Amino acid sequence: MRTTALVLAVLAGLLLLNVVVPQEATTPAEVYAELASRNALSHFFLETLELGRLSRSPIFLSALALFFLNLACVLSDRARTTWLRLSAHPPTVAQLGTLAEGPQAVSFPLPEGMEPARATAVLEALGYRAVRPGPGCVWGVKNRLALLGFPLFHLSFFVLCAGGVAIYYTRHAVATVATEGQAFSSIEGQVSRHSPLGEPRPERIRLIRVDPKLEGGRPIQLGAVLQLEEPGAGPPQTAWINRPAEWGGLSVLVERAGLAPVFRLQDGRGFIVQRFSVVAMFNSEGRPSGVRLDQDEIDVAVQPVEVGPDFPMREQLATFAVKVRVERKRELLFDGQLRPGQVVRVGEHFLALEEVRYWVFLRLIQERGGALLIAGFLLAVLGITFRMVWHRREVGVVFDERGMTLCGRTEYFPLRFREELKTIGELLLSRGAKEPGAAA
Amino acid sequence: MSTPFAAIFWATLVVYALVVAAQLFGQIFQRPAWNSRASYGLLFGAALHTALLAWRWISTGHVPTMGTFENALSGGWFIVAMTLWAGWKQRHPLLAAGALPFALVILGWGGVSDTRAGPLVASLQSFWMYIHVFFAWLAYGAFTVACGAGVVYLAKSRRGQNPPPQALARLEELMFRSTVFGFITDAGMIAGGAIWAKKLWGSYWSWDPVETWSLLSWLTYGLALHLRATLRWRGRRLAWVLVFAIITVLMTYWGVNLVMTATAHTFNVG
Repeated sequence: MRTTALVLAVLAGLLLLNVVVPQEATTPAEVYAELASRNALSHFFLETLELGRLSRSPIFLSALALFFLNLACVLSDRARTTWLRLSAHPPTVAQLGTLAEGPQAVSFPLPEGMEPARATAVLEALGYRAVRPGPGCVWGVKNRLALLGFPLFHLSFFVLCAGGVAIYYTRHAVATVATEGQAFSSIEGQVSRHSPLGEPRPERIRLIRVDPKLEGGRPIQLGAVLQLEEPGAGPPQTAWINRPAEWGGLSVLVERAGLAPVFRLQDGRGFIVQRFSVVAMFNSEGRPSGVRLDQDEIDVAVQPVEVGPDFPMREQLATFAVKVRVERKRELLFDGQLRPGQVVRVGEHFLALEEVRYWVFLRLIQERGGALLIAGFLLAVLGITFRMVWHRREVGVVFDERGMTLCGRTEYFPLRFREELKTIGELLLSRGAKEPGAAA
Repeated sequence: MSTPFAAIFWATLVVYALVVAAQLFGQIFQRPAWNSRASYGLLFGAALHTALLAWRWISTGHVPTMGTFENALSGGWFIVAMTLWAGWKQRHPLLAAGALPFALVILGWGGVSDTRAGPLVASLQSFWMYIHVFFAWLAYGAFTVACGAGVVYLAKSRRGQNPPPQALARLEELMFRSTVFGFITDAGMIAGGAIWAKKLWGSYWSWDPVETWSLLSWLTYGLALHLRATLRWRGRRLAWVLVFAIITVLMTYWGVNLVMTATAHTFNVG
């Protein structure tokens, strides 16, 4: 018991370290590197002891292992006692007599017409499972199975752990940007996490349409209609913020959107040299992103429009003017606005804006084990509720020369239980008074 | 917020402050009449508070859960409602003196933040958000009541005080029951939050500072339950544990946003 308290205290202490010590995952890389190399002590704590990556550090993993070992010991230690108590063998008459002398006992005068058989009926009506261990006494137990809450709660951690392990080994996370009409692979893009078990099966998905929703110029929702491209894939799904599209273990989350104008570059004779779209967003240096047409060394950049009051809705796209800047070897060829259908001369070429589409930033996550995790959460909440809210109560009613004595035992809430005993006693009194001659 | 709304909001805070002052006065100067007056004051304040909550809900069209102000309005209401319930049900009129200061601080902080109303942003449009927030406030309300009961217990069981043993036993049971309720609802909050995080960010758990603090808080209350149920920690020892444990709740809700920027859990999303 003390070991459990100690293990919990150690885990709490380590979690405290997790929020106090700068963590690599939540600190800017250059700041973390500076901290880790500031002096020998900080290097020792952050790097040698790996407190800067606490959730993966040997110390934390050892504490977790100790936690689960302790859980297993507690479970095996309590299994037999729990099983015996579940079987609900009533106490002997002598044991009931001892309880009736105890501090929890409440005595009442024997109501007229009340006898053990009627007390049994009253207890059963109150939800107790009542038996008669002897001629002058009744014993009842309520929420007999509440004891199962204990193993259920403790087992839930193993289920959670299994879910966590499954997710750890199967999780493959990719971020990608797609424009309307574009097809992409579920495992290609900017991979933020590789599954230790290897790449999952690639799925081909097409972005059909993007649905931004604004209210008073404020973005309130964003949807992306996606079609899984494989035989028998079913109808398209819409991924909304907070409601990802899901195919088995693959979730597609939509995060943000923008404009993706589609251009056509033509030579002087009108032949199409290239057709391309620009994903208009700010790059990491805060400059508008663009496309380099390598053959002619032409850079086409489009000024992004943040999703907000100026962001065009779909019906406005056909006439929406985008700001375009075209350069060749740093020589400015064009800087101005273009609407769909307009053509502008850029050097010896012509640039036409065909249409404006939307782009969307997607996260593609493939993992297994989520169901186990949710089952673990459910078991934990059920277990602790079962154990402590519907806690087990045992009530004994002893009839002797003193009258009627109610006694019993409970685990957690003695005052509340005493009040319950009084209520049961009063109920027995009133039943006896109302139906004095009633047969058992 | 509009002027009438602001007037009622600040008036509610004044009523709560007067309730705490009246209970402290009644306790320190042995004037029990002030305690019952304070109880009526608390009822009046709670009625005003409920009206404000409904007003905000109707005017924005969503449950007030967006941004610091709305969270404070809802969270404060839960604390007050649970204090009222526990005080009435457990016959502890003094409980408000221990628990209400938390509601006052939360509401005061919310009142000076950005109070403008707006449509519910996409990241908050989730069934799981409501589960998460509802259980969070139930848990925080229960932990605040446990802490308030602990404060009253410590005050009543000081050397030289001779309260009826039954009163102390009732307080102790209230501390324990509130902690049990808070522990269960806190588990619901963490589970609901994890599922919401999976839908919103693609990951059940990412060791975000707020997530870590909430786990730490849950573990701390789990430890408190273990100490009480298994190692039989009772009385003043248990009261001290619960008074200190509230720090973890305060850090989860506030501290992280105050001292850290590297968290996706910014409550001030409005």
